[in-house]
Amino acid sequence: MNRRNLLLAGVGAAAASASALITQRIHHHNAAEANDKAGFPNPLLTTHEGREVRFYDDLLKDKVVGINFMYAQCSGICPGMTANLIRVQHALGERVGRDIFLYSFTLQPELDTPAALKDYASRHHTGAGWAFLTGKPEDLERIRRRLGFFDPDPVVDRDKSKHTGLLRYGNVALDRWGACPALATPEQIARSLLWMVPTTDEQAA
Amino acid sequence: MSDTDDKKNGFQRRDVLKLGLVAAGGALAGTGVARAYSSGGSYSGSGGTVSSPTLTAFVDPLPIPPVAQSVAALSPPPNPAAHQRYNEFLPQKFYDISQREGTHQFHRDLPATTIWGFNGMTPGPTFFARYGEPVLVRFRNNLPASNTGYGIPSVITHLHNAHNASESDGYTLDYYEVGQFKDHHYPNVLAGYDAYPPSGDVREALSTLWYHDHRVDFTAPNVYRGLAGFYFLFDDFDTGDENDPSPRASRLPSGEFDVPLIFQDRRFSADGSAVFDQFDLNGFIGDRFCVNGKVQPFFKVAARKYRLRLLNGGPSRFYEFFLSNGASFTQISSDGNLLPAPISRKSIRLGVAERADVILDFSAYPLGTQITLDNRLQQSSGRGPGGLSSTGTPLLRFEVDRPARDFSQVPAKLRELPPVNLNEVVTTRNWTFDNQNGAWTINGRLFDSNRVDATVKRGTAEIWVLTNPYRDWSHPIHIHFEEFQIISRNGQATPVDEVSRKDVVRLAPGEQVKIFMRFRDFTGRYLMHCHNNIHEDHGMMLRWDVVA
Repeated sequence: MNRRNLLLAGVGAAAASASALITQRIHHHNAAEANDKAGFPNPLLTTHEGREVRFYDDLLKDKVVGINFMYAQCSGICPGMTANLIRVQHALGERVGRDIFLYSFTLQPELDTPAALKDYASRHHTGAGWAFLTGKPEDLERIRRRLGFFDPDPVVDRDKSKHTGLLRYGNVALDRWGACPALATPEQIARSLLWMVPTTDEQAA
Repeated sequence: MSDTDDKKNGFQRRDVLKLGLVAAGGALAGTGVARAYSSGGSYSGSGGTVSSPTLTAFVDPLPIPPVAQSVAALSPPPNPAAHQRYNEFLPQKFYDISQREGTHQFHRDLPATTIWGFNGMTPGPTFFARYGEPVLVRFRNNLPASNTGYGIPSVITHLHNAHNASESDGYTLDYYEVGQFKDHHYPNVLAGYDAYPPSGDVREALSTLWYHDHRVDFTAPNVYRGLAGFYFLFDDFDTGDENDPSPRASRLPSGEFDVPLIFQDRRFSADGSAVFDQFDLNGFIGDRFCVNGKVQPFFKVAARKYRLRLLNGGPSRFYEFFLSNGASFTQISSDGNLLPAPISRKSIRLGVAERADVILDFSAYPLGTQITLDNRLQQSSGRGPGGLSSTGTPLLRFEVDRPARDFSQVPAKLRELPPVNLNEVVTTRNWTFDNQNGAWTINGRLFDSNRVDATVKRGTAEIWVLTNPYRDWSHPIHIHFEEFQIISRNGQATPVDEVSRKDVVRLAPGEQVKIFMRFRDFTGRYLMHCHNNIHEDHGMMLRWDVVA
């Protein structure tokens, strides 16, 4: 009963928040939003291996995830982040690709084609369970904003060279999300990802 | 994830999914940026980005948290070797407190919901502690391991801002999991204990402290779920007894006339749970105002003096308090530290974690008088406050309903300030609080517990210069372990209301504050961080160590 009420309340509130101005916006985004799941965008993306995946269905659902934003030609923070995440991958061993997944989303989809990302991945010797993702710029933009990877100041936000060094980690099944510096020690990052693995009361007891 | 987990969580996941869909539509419509709020209840899905239900003000009485009760002994007994100076400050009282889920109703017209609280309540029980009476508090993590929603059932409690050894301070990485406990040794000792025998520098006495969760990366959601409470410290001046016959006693209002008030803004779902946004790095701004865990309560008061201990319990909002009848506050402390003398103030501004004790005297008003405590500081973004509004939002309504005798006093002199002696200063450190594309930095770096950003020598003093470069955000900066004094603000003399010992300093856009601080009696790792809990969780924190 509680759940039904909530659902109804949600519908009512969403309707109430719609105004003439924003209706326009809804229409504009309608196509993209139609696929949304669990409050997340669910567009089709392409991995560096050329596989087509949906953001929510294939990347988030039932998984513990670590997510950062990068671009192949970045000469700033990205190479260090990538090198660090490789150490995280080693620290977590075979769990990466089994229940823990790493995703690097490009900030430059115009240049970072699947082939360019594949080249980047091979140059850095990244392993299985870590996907580099590209797609339509507007889809990547929605994902970036949904995960909080943006600066409210549009001028700063447009400057890709100053993009954030955060790693977003989470588990949609638990509705639990956190963030840590992508340059934190590999042990710290590995531990943060493990915080997202569900524990049952029985296990804790 | 095991099959069992799937079954356990499957039901909830489906719900989250349905609700999230609806909520995200609304969010995009409003801002163009998807925002999904997570529900605090582990039994329900997202409440959406919606405004809270309309709630009638002044229908719930102000709750007063119960006093924490000590126990005869702890089993297993505490391990003295785990604490600095344990035998020197041998605990005389023991407390057994647990972090656990509880049922709470935030407003008469909201359904009851689950919260996390110390002993299952929010705010938690209030500790009444005394200088010279060391205590040991065992905090047991009895939270539900299978929790869903914001926050993490893994905790560490900071006693803000006690003069404690590092291992009892609630260092952010000292968290522990469900089923485990941690002992905190609170010696209740004056700072300067070693330099001022036999009992420390009485000018360093603290009075209004609070304890709250400090779990790395999850402080904001864990405190928002309810893990916060008060800790009062008394001594032979501030004795907690307005009828104290001792000539040294201040006789400030006490007992039922000494009232803690924690202000926390929240958003509510129609199911009564508090909703939270795990993705907005700027901060979280609620649209309903709780005092001691109730939305806009009323408080029936006697026509006499009261000591009100105001605390901004976060997570992000700044407040500026006014009285609806235009009367002034008599402020007696700042950040829990009694001022040299009471000051009369038309308004009081508090950043997150700042405290102010004020005296209000209702004896001048006829019975039946109603006065509201209003917040007139506008704020729509977690980044910082805007300007003052002319009306404001009433947070709490005082209703004068009975006559009363009043033997309490407000002494003309309270507590002298310890001297600021620049000859003790061995170094000056500069700290710049900035932002790098959404993440919050100090001196350009994000928090890393393995990096020690300052190593200070016990028994020395330093000047720290805290700078907020010109942008559109504000930061309430908190330094653990010792109180500091502001020696200048923006190159000017310290404003009158900040001539005090403090542990949180507000940095408005473009501001620079210079502080003087001593480091005494204990060693170990401590923290400085922005107390906008969302900034703190997203990088704006650093570790500094005291070494012998």
